[in-house]
Amino acid sequence: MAHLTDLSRVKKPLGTANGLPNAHYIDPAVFAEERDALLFGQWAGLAVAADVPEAGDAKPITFMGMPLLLLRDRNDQVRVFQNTCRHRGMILVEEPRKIEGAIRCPYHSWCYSTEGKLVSTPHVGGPGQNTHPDVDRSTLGLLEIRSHIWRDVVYVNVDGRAPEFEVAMKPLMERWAEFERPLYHGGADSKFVLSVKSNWKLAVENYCESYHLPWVHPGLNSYSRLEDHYNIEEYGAYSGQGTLVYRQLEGSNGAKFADFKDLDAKWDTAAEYLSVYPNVLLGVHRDHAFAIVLVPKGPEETEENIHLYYATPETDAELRAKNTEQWKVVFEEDIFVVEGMQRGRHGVNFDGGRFSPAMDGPTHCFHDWVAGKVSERRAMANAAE
Amino acid sequence: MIPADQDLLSAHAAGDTSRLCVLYHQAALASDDIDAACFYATHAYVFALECDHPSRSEIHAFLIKHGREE
Repeated sequence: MAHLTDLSRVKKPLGTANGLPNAHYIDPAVFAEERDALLFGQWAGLAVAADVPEAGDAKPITFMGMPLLLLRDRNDQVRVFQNTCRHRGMILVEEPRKIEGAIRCPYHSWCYSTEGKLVSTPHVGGPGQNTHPDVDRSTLGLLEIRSHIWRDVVYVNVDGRAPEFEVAMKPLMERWAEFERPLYHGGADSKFVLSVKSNWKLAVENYCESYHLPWVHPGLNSYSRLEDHYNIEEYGAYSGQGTLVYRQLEGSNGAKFADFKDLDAKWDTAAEYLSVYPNVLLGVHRDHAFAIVLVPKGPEETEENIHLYYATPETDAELRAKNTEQWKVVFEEDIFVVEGMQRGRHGVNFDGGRFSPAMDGPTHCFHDWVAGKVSERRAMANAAE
Repeated sequence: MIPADQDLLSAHAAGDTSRLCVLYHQAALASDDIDAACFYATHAYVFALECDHPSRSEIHAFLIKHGREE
């Protein structure tokens, strides 16, 4: 079977490899292939638990065309369901809202508990007859999607075939084991959304390398020079960059955020930024963290959901607002880059580009992972034929 | 037509599930015919489930008593 793209040059060593072919950024057929291989087949970021802070909170999310429902159940467990009634396939929840009791389908009023159990099938056996021997409610609960929360990010494995989350993410979780502390979302002023006209992978690629910092974020040059950064490359797992000169933000009254407890002294001035494959971008510092969940809206459109976290439930409001603004400026500075690279991929003679052997390791690491997962998927499809 | 028809339509239009539960429950209790009563009680139960209404258990028990619910 002919493959959609040739990935042989992507899998070469860093110094001689090409980047992913254009089709991986602009072709709907490859977008669909990557949906199965990279997003549904792995642990993909969907949202954050803070999106549903109270029991009964429900938020519908369309993820790669699939209608999902993020829900905090009565027992405070965050779950992800297919947002689809088991009766006639109607969408159950249209807008974010509080589920007071049960989820009632707006079509024929089949009702589900927040744990996903089918609890009512009105008139299913005829008017006023709400049971029927052929309709076994215990087999018709909402279809739950495998999910896992780490650092407040809700990850989903739609096809159910990925290794356990702790196994799949072991290298990353070990790297940041020191940061396994309670973290608190900063609230309404600590989140924002950026919509970019770009394939989601370009946001990953741009995020994980420091090569662009002095050119795209000149404001960082004053204290965070290129040589203060280091590459992070864990092939097959994650990549990113670190800095050795992190400086805490100070408020007008000299206030600073509290630190996460018991960190090694190296974190006094260090910070790290990792692309968690496929679509989550995380950052850690001694006194705050952030998560960016990339939700692809199409081959050339992505929603970036940014959330900031702190070590304590209460933080200084002025300082928090300043921190949000600071990061917003940085992430907005990246928009022209990812959108420019997207447009550049309509140049039919572009060959995927080349990498700086010294600076682009983290990006190559991601391309190598993409090529590997897509190739595995193609091999499975071939074997099935 | 039942007495509460206009109230029901208003409650439906407003999406007032608690009121719908109460009105359908009243219609069920007012009905002499058991099939009609169970029809209204079914609706009352659905809205009771949706808004976690205090009368949920009572309506559920009524439907079970008449073999209409599990």
